[in-house]
Amino acid sequence: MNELIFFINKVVLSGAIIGCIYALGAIGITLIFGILRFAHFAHADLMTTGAFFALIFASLLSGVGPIAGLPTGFVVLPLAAAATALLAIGLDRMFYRPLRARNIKPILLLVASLGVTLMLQGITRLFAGTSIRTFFTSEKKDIFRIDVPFDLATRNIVITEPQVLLFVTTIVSIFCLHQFLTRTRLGKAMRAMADNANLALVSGINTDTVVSATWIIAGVLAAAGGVLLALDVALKPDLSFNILLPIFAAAIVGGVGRPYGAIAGGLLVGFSEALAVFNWSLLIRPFADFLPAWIEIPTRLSIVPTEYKLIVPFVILIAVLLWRPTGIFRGQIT
Amino acid sequence: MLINATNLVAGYGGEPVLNGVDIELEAGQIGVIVGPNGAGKSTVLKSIFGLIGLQQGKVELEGENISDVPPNRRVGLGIAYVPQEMNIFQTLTVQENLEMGAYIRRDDYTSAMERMFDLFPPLKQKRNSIAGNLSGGQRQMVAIGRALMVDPRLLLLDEPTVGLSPAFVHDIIERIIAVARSNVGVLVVEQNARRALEIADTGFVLAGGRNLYTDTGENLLNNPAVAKSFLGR
Amino acid sequence: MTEYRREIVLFAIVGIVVMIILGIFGQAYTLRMLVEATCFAIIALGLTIQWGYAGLFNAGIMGFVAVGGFITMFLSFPINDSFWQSDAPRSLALFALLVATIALVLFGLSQMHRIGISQRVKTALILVALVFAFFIFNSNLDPIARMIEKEAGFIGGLGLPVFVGWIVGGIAAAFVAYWIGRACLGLRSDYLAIATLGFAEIIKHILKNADWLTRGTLTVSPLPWPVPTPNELGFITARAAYLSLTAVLVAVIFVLLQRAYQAPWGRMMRAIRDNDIAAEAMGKNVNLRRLQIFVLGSGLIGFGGAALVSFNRIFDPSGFTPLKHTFLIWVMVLLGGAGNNAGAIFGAIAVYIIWVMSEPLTLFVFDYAAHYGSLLFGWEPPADLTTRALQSRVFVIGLTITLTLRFAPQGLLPERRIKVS
Repeated sequence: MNELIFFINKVVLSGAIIGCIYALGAIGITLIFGILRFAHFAHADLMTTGAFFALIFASLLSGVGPIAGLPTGFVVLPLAAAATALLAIGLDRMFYRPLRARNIKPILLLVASLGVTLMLQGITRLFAGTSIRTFFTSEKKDIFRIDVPFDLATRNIVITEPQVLLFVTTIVSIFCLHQFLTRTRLGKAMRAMADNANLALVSGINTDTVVSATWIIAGVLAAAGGVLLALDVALKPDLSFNILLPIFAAAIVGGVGRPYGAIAGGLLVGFSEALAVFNWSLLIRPFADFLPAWIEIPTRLSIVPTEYKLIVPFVILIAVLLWRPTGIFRGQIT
Repeated sequence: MLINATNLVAGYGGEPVLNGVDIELEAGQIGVIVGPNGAGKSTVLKSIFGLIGLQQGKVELEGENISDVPPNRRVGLGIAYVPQEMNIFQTLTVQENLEMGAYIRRDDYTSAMERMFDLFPPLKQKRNSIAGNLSGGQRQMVAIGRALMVDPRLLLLDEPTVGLSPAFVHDIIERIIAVARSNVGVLVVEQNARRALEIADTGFVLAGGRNLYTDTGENLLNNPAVAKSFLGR
Repeated sequence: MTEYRREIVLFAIVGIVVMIILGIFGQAYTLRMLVEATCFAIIALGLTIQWGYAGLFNAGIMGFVAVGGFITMFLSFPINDSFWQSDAPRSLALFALLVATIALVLFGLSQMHRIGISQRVKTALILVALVFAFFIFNSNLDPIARMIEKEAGFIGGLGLPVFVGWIVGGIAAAFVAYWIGRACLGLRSDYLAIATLGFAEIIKHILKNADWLTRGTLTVSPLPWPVPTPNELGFITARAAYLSLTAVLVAVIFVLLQRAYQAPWGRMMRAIRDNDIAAEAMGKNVNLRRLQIFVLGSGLIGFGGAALVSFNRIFDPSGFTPLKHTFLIWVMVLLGGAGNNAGAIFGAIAVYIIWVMSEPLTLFVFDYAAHYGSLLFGWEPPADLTTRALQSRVFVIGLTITLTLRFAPQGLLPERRIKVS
């Protein structure tokens, strides 16, 4: 029984946690890909910059959290999200729109986003330094231990407050996004422009407004993902590069331009990571008595060694790119 | 005069495709543009809608020069355009397609939508279907319906019957006539010159980016030179 | 002569800057910077033919640099006797035999459609076989790797001449590029960028974690030089000797590429880049040509990477970063002018100078800011000011990319379009 709880903690929960983070980033990637037709390489740094904004706001407004009964980093999330959305629009105005106006190849927008990602990285590190930062220097991180009502289970399912907040935020964001895309005029225009940009123009849709809306949504979700990731673990300087390829993998797995696909893709990549490094011998060992004697259970039996965890998303990414570049939900129109 | 385009010179960079085309059309009339491949038929529609810039000439809508108005604002002035290909939002429902057609309208457009469903009855049952899953004829209805949602004064149609089965072609042509009767000027580019000229109030025969003949549809059909070069047999 | 005025002016500016650096930082420092810049120039030439001639977006430069560096380390590093005297070589040979058998089985499976097995069954069988192969591979390599690490540290090198290492390093990078290219070149360009970025990361991770082969994070040093080392000649003379070698290499590669560019082969490559559909319609095998140039360019990148790693005298797989070994090279090519070989060389040297100099310059500015900040406002600068100053180069490189795209999208030395009559 304890083994099962271990499995829930190590695979189900941690897979879902990192999966939600990836999903929040991948939605932005996929929307930008759909509307502006380029791979936005600066997205992971938009996420860390969002977390960085939250750090600034949290230090300015320290003490707000305890009043609300929530971590300060989470309470200032709306502020950080607004700042990140503004930053995203500003970056578009400064670096991407002038290039779009010249009708250049989309691949050069990708190059521009490489430049932007390096600039963001450089600036945040110049100001924040390269050390690891956490929201929980003065506050305590609440940890919930959930008892499992079985006699054999002595261990608990462990989940922290930021993780609960992460799940809630992700679900609420996805619900709001769904309502926006299917119920509002601007949301439908966004889907229309992702579908057929020329026809959107012909229909009189103001494409500038749609582009701005895209950056706002992408920026808000990126900030949410970045802040919640930083709340869950910490804000590490090399964080952005480690999430860049997973969120691309998630967006491509789900099929670019499809927000719901990106969510599924994010969870898929997250669970794959957790499953790949999980030590399966722990789950098999209780059944050792039923196995023939000549089978010896190794102490470590994982699909890939832990030190290769980072390349799991890359492998998924490349497999999907080669096998089904349009995403695993090909043929199904949403 | 609803639309008066004079001396249009336009192209896609390099040599111009249009070398001085004139188009005139009254409200409630059907104008048909015919001509061989490469004559610049579609380019005329695009330049009237503003999708490509004019090197020379001007476009006037009811006497007002609109040559410098960007295409998405021409929609607001009452010009609607249906491209030849990729003319529906494939991943949106039929109703959402029509809503996108009415994007610039801030008023209540439910009556306009009901009118579309009356004009194209098959769309009514399919209003919540994904447009990309419809048949070719129904897609064309969605495309024209989307354009009509703004209650345009001028409707530009680029080969609306291409690739459709004969029954649907007849259907679409009936609808075009119906639209024109509601006092909308309709400018159609057609590959099938004979049938198009049959319904035309004015026909424009283009070749090499210039007007070759401009006359009533009937006169053009009876003009031996036109018949010989452009109508076959 | 006026035709090449831009080139002359720009290279003259670089020359003056180098002189200034020489005056401030001294000979040894400047020579090291120039040797590294010439190695980067070789890498940049490899990228400029991929991107400039054929429009291929290779974001995995770091992977090829790492392959070149690893091979040159493996071939040129002295022989590790404790490895060769242990049982490990025999086990490794047996392991190689096992791998060959697995490869043969997989190849056999991939040919099964010839005996009338349906595609679907074949794919399923191959997938199952791959999973098994993966586990067999891991479970057999693991004990050998542990044995080597315990008894010998790592397998050591082969003690061959350094130049052999460079050439084989280039060939190995080209070989890796062949397989990556075969799989990925059909993808649209932004997907190609993401895929190559992923492959580079995989290569780096394998090299970093295969301790038995590369010592991983423990790093391997000192690597031998193709010219006498500083221990024998002193820093200045040894580095000057190294520089003359790399400079000659850059010149030779430049001349060869220049001839290829003007030859029918180069014309065809440009035709494919500018309009692949038309080129295909004219009967050119577009995919094969792209693969050719991808392999050639990556080979050059591997060769340049080998020269760079040898010069640094240390093989450190964790030291390969996308920033320095991929994006920096992109800036060189973009700033210099894609498709212009002289531009790539100019870009490599100019950007490397910017890269190296942005740290001392920022420190200089920071020192002033800290000085006057504390003097005027009582500002207490953070203690890690120096490590932060290092980050300014990241920003500067990013800024250079965006400014180049905005104001000189063709680069400072644009490709010279040859009139085709």
